[in-house]
Amino acid sequence: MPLLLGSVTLPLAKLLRYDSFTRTIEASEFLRNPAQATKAVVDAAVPQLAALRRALVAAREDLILGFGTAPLAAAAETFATTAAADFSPGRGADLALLEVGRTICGRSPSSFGACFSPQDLPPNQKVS
Amino acid sequence: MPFSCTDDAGWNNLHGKGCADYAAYCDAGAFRLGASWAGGEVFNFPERSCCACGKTPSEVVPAKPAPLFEKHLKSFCRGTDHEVKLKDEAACEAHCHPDQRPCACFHFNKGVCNFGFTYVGLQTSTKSSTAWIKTSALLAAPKAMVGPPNGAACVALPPRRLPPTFYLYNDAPFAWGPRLAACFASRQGMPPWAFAVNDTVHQTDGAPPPGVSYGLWLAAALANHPQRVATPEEARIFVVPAYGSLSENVGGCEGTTHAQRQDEAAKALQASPWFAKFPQRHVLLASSGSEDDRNPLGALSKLASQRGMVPLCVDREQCAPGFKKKAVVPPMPLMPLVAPSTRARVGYEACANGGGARRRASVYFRGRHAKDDEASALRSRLWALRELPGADVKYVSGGGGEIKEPSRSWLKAHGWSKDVRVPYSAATYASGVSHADFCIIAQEVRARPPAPASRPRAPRPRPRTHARADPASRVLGPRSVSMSMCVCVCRATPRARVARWSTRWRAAACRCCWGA
Repeated sequence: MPLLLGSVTLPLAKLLRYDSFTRTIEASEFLRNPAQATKAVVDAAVPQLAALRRALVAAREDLILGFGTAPLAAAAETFATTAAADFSPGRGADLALLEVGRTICGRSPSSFGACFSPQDLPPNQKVS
Repeated sequence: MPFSCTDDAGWNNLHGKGCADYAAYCDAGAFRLGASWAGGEVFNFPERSCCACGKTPSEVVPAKPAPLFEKHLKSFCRGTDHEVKLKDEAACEAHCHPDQRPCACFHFNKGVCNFGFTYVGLQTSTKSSTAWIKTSALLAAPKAMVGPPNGAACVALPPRRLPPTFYLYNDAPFAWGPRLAACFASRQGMPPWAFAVNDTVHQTDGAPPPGVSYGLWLAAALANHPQRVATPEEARIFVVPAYGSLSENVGGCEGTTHAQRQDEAAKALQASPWFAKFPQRHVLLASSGSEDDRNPLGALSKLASQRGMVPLCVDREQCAPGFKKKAVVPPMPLMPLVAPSTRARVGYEACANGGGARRRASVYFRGRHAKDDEASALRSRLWALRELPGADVKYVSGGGGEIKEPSRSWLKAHGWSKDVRVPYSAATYASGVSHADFCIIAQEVRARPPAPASRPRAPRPRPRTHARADPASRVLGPRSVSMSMCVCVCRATPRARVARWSTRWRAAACRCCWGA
């Protein structure tokens, strides 16, 4: 379980509920008494460990591009990886593309409907 | 004659057609007249995979036998229900050979070979026990053991949030992934996604930092994505495959240089009517977090930033310059953490026995000291966590900052005497985080370059000084310390707010209190 200390930049922070699977140690508390501040957070989190782990399993699927030993299955024999080549996609690409969508059009990151006129979007999208 | 030709199972031309469909374009080992356009890299080399298009028996490479068992150090097999006394681990392995009996998992401990015919997971061992899992049982484990692919039977994944439909450019100038991987492998003797043992620029084992293969993993995730569309007309965004870090790392490959490849990609992109019309809806991987990147996208970066493309950046600060908007994505995880066995084990752990079983370590940290003052103060104090039961906290050497004087004094006052740092090992780190309940991710603010002296500074806004009118406020500070170290307490103002002002607006905060 990630214990965040201080100001840590979290990727996809607007798409993932980090508070469901992380805990934060307050920097000011930590500077005063590191061990006590950490212990307090850990002690409070231990009873919730099961829920935190389940949330982390779900978040892991959202954060990871793919599970496996090699991204190029066809090349695995050539490169002689230790296990059989396999790649099963996670949902990491979903959130990466949604983050792109959010960057392009924050109000409708999937459809872009709020930012582009219908003729600029499929199915009516045509090259002039 | 044993030679025969078999179409590559599962091959497709990246446009949804398989070898069977290529009968229309190929015959007797060659393309039909006028159909050679359907071959080559753009269509995933049908001539190498389909017999009708030219795949020859000599190209059929016998598959390397897959290892029968996968080795897992410091682990026991869960749920073993058979045991036999044997002299050593080799005898145990022979005992469990598939020709003898269908062991799914076995381990050898204290002269006893323990094994089971069903794989139900691993248990961490504090001793030097090694568990061996049958590869086929491991690959089937997520389904057989706990059902869903994430390994967690008790976790209902939230509904998938589908991203915008996207078109993935796959013309030759962009299709460098497998070729660069092959060039890397021929040079380094391992694929670019090989697990880097110490994850530094100065790898001694030839393996690159994880970021180098980011583009390959991203391409693999996008290739069969449900939102990928076959034609640009259907797309809301346009993904330009970019393997900048890998390309720069490889250098020369198939007679081209890194710069030439980026030039070619830039030219091809510029020629695209879709890029001309919707440049701001084009996206490419611009930064994969590899520390030895210098100019990973070359001319492509210049074009992309000038035309307003969206870069995917692992590190916002180190992302290619010139981009106005950036999409920050997570860095590549360490390879052992995305292994199917880890996925299954973590999922199993989240559900088995209520999901609350404690791990070997309670709190785990491996990291460098920070260069930034604020982060350094936090990181140096992690040393004090050694007094917590089950804490495993160590600093690693290489590239880290020195412990700043205020922190050094604090540490000395609390019994610290020696700055001990251990070499970083990614393998140790991956193992450590897998066996700890909590892993500390500490602030690591990089020191920003100082602003040019000639640059005019914008006037600072005056802070709101609510306490100025508060007659109950009192001053504790400026008489005993300098003005810049003013310490004051304003009763009517929340302490945190004053503290913040004291940091950013020291003088103003003091005036606030003096004024009262």
